[in-house]
Amino acid sequence: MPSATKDSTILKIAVEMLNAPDKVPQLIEFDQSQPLSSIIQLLCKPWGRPDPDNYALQFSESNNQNYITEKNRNEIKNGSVLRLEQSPAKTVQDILSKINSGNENDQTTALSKLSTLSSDLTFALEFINKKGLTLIIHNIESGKFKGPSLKFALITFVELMDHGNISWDILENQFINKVASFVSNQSSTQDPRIIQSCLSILENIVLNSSGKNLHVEKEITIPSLISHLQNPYQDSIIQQNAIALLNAIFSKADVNKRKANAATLSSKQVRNVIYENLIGASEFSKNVSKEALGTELAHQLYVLQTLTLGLLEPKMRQRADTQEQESQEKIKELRKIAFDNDNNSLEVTTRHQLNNSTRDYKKLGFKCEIDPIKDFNEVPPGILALDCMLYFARNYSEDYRKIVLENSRAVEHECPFGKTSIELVKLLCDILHIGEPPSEQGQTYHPLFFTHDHPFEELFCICIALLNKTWKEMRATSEDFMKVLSVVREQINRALSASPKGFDKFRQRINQLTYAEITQIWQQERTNREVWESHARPIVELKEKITPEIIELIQQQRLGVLVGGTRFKKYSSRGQRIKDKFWFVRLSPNHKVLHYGDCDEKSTPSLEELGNKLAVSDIKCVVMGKDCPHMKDLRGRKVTPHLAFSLILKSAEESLDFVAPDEQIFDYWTDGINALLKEKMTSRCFENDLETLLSMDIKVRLLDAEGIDIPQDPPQIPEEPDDYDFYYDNN
Amino acid sequence: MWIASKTPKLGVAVYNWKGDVRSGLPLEIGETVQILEENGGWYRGFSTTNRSAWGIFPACVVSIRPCTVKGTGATAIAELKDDPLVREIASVLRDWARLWKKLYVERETYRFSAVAKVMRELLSGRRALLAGTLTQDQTRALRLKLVAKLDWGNRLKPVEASQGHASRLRVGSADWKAHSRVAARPLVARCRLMRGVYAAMLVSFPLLMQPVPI
Repeated sequence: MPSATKDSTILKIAVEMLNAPDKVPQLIEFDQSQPLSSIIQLLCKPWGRPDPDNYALQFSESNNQNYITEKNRNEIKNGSVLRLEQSPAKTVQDILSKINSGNENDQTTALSKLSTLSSDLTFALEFINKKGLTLIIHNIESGKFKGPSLKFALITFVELMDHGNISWDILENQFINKVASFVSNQSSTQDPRIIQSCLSILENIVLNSSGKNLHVEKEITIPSLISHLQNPYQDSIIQQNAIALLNAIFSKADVNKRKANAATLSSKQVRNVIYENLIGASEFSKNVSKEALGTELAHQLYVLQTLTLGLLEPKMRQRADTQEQESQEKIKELRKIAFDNDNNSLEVTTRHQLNNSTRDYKKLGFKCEIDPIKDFNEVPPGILALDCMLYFARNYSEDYRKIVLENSRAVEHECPFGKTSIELVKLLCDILHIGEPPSEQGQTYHPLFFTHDHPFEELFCICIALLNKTWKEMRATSEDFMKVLSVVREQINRALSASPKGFDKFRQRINQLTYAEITQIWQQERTNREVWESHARPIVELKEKITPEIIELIQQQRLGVLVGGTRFKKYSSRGQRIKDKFWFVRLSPNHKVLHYGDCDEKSTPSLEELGNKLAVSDIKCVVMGKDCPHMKDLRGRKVTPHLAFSLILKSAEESLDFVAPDEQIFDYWTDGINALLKEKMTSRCFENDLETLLSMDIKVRLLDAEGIDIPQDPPQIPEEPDDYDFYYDNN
Repeated sequence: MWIASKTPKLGVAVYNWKGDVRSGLPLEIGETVQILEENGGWYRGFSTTNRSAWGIFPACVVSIRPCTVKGTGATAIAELKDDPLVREIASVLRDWARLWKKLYVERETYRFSAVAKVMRELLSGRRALLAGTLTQDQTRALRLKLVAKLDWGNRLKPVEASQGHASRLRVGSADWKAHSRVAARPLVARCRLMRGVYAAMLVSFPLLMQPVPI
């Protein structure tokens, strides 16, 4: 249609008038260069509207019903259907008058309309300008709105504020109290939308207002938020908004308050609510997978997890101080739990004890045996490592003693407990990004962290046992420390990525991921990479480039076979084996003549001894299998035609017929003849040889590129250099 | 403006480049180049396989590798800073690849496949060394195994010339012998370096010192 492309500023669209079935929709040419007001004027005329100023155009798509303004009119496309509606100004005026003076029904209808229109920025600005927002705030505050009106008013408020034009600081404590009261009010059966909106409002106040967060914290208790996770509707938006508000309060609180929050949150009761209502939900119904939990909820759980784990940061960053009594005591306790049974004799002198202590600290695997506290000078992991070790020693004393004992025999293959624990805690901090603020996009949370009072410490206990196991599996020595850690990192990451629902599942999974398993996975990854690389464009290009050289080699090899000659069994022209008769064929060294003649079973006749000659130039082609003249009529004979081939001569209907003793000779000879005739070699042997030679050649050519990634896409070649005035002269 | 690199660098081509600009140096993936001077996104240098042909190439088709440099300026010689055994295997494999193709043409079927097998073992062993994921014990054992394989290749003598196909073998055999001499030198030096390890390994892993099975 040439007219459509003639002028790109003209679009063909339809316009209908809402709530007016008697008005026939208009098909118009919409000129993007004309002001909207004049287009509206033109539209109003045929529909008999005298007041075009009171009308505006709207999109009518399911996901976009915004008013059309000079700013967004470029979103109109050919074939769009638009709607002629009351202008924002007129609508605002109508709605305001109904809120102010209408009866309850009118009010609700007006607010309902308002709540949908408010998401449109054009409308929202108009409404805010006409003091609509102030009115809504006032009426919510004073309790004038009830039931459905309240619901729509709150939704409207959320939508209006969502545009980000109004500061959250305009809100007074009274308003906050009112909104908080809806959240705290557990008794009445409220519309879930009310709670959703209120939670979202409070979250925004905490995050975006200056100083009002303290007031919200005062008004809202964590238990009341937690109870919303168990709301009777199982409404996931309420759950999500409640967690979001929780996170907001958490992130704004000062350190002490945060600790208190965390203590409440990690209490068994609260944890169970979170786990059962949000995370565990997916365990009970199979079709609710983690994805189905909703990305926003997953994000909020991630934030919660990050904030909770973040509480470990101060410890992770705190160096142990030699003077500090607390850490000294902890180290002593570690020693006591490990060696209590040995040192129960009471008459040991102080001096003796000192010697013993150094010996014991060596057994515990500290770097600094004289003053182990120095081992905790590195941050991260700081004294967090010490706490983890003590937790392990206190709660899993048996395992602890076993590990210490096993590794204190001063043999080459021991895995020092102290040193490895400190590195492991550092590794865990790194894997879990402790000390980093939550990211905007993060959605990775680990259900198992919601199942225990001390999830980090528990994780450490499992992983220190794993580290010991892996150490043994690798038969590692102290030089291999970093290698073992890299395997352990892989094991932890892989086990966590399966989102185990609890520590038992995690332990199970991680114990299956043995060193052998990890090596196999790595091997597989390397193999996959190699397969990918063998299809990578530059490799394919290189293969194509060297293939002719390789084919040349194969030809030389085949011609070598022909020059060397082969003894064939003799067959009659009708393909009958002639008993005990043989003949020998070989190619002259100049590759021009085939010499052949009879021979016995063992002899290898020289060229001169072979009486018959066939010039290569007389050969027309080679045929194989059933196409051979001597294989034409196979009835009742035992010969297998697949080893037969014939040289068809140019003159007359003559041929030289062969039956090869095996497939290799068959392949070599047919390839050789094809090579002589400058035809393509086609045998299976040829394909194999080509592959073998080519792949080795490529591997050797890529020796220096080992471990370097081949780019997925061709590199962007830069513009040619500005000059060719080289620094060095070359020959 | 072309500026001389402070010290010459080594790069490995990660892509093929036709060299279709003035003074361009065509590159094939895997080829090693020594870089002498640079200008924006361009390098000037030569392929280590032909040090006299200088040319320019885009910086983005090569990946810079750590190297050691002897000498300065245009006459400097840069070498990849790999472990000596890793380098030795690479240079031996390049030699063998050439001879191996000769074995193919000469129809030395048995030795052809035996050498291929050892080459593949050397390739994968070298890869494992470079990946650096093995423990010290494993690394030591692997190194010993690889050295044994190199020795096997270098010892590879011509098949007894008395069997009647002496004439056919001559070319290949002479080459193997010559190669054996060349490659033996660095090998001996390395063995001396590793003697301590060798002795220790001989005690704990006597199996490794048995002739390499083919």
